[in-house]
Amino acid sequence: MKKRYFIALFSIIILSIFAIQSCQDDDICIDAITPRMIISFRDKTTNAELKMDSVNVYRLNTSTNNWERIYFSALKSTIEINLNVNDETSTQLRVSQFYQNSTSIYDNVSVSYENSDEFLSKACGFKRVYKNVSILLNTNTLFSNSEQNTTEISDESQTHLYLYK
Amino acid sequence: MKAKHICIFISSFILTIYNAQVDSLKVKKNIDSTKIVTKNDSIKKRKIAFNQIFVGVDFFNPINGFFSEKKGFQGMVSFHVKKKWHGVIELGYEKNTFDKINWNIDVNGLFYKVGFNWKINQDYENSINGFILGARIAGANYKQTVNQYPIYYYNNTISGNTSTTTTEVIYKSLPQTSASAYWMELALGGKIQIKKSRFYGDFLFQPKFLITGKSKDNDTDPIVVPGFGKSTSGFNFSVYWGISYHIK
Repeated sequence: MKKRYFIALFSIIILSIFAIQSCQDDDICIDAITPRMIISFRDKTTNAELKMDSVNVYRLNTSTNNWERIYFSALKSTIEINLNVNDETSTQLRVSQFYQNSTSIYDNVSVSYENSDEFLSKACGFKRVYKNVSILLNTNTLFSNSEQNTTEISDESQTHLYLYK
Repeated sequence: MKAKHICIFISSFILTIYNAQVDSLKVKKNIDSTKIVTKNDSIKKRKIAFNQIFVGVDFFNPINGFFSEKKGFQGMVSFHVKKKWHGVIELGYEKNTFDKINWNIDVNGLFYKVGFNWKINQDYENSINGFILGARIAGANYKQTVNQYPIYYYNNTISGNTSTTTTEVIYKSLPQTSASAYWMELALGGKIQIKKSRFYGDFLFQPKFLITGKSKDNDTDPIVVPGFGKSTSGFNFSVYWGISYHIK
């Protein structure tokens, strides 16, 4: 009788080892991570969506003080640009029509904000949320004016900045 | 996949218990045929049943601590309430580290569990021996230090002649905070006398289901908790192999 208990308890031990082995993490992130800034272009007279023939975006690297080209597209009316994820409270962008930085027509956009990290999940970690955002179009060479649509960049569901050409 | 494994485990466990149950029924039939023995047996059983106080310690986790980042110890007290019901209190301390998928979290602290064991069947030679099914409410109060947490972001880059977006990660850290977590636990296992001594071996398999948990100054979910371990979507299990002493 006692022998049978031993056998049964032994099988519990063996089974529990198998159970531990089989319990593997499945950690694939499916949530939305740190949002990019959504910029939409509009025609200044008709207020309609405007497909830019060509857009080049540069970002100021504050450690080297260089403008780095990070994005280009053709015939798009909406673009997604990532802001800095470091501890700095602003991102300097340059939206240009052409590749050649020196010769092209461009405008500088400065985006300042407060950083806030929000917990998503174990698989997705945290995301950066930009609060109290203020966006400034510093020059009016390419775009005549801008319209800030929100003061918080927490997801990519809406346009954050309209640029009128 | 995970669910499948758990299912296989539980069904095989039930089968083992069923087999043991059948065995004990067979023994019961044998005893029934000699009526005098049955009477004596039931009187004896009742006497023992009112005096079952056990104090035990776990050996699995301290030994396992040599091979894993989960280090700790645990003890339990159990006492007979009535019929097949036993009250159980478990107490322990655990230190653990979660160092995967870009996280690095250290936790250490106390955990406690209160619940019951229900005897599924009993050995007719010694009514303390047998399989048990139990449930516990458990909690932990602990210190948590997030040495590294990941922030994932899309990064615009230009490689060659194409504009692409890659997913990248930066790391930040959080100072130590106090945290707490609560969970439900099942217990499946058995108790068996070691030779003819007052010592008994305890074998428990304990699936756990996280109810809630928060750290004090940030909203992170419990990823690793003393006594619970590393959470896999709020589920985990532990093993208890210990020795308990029959006090009274």
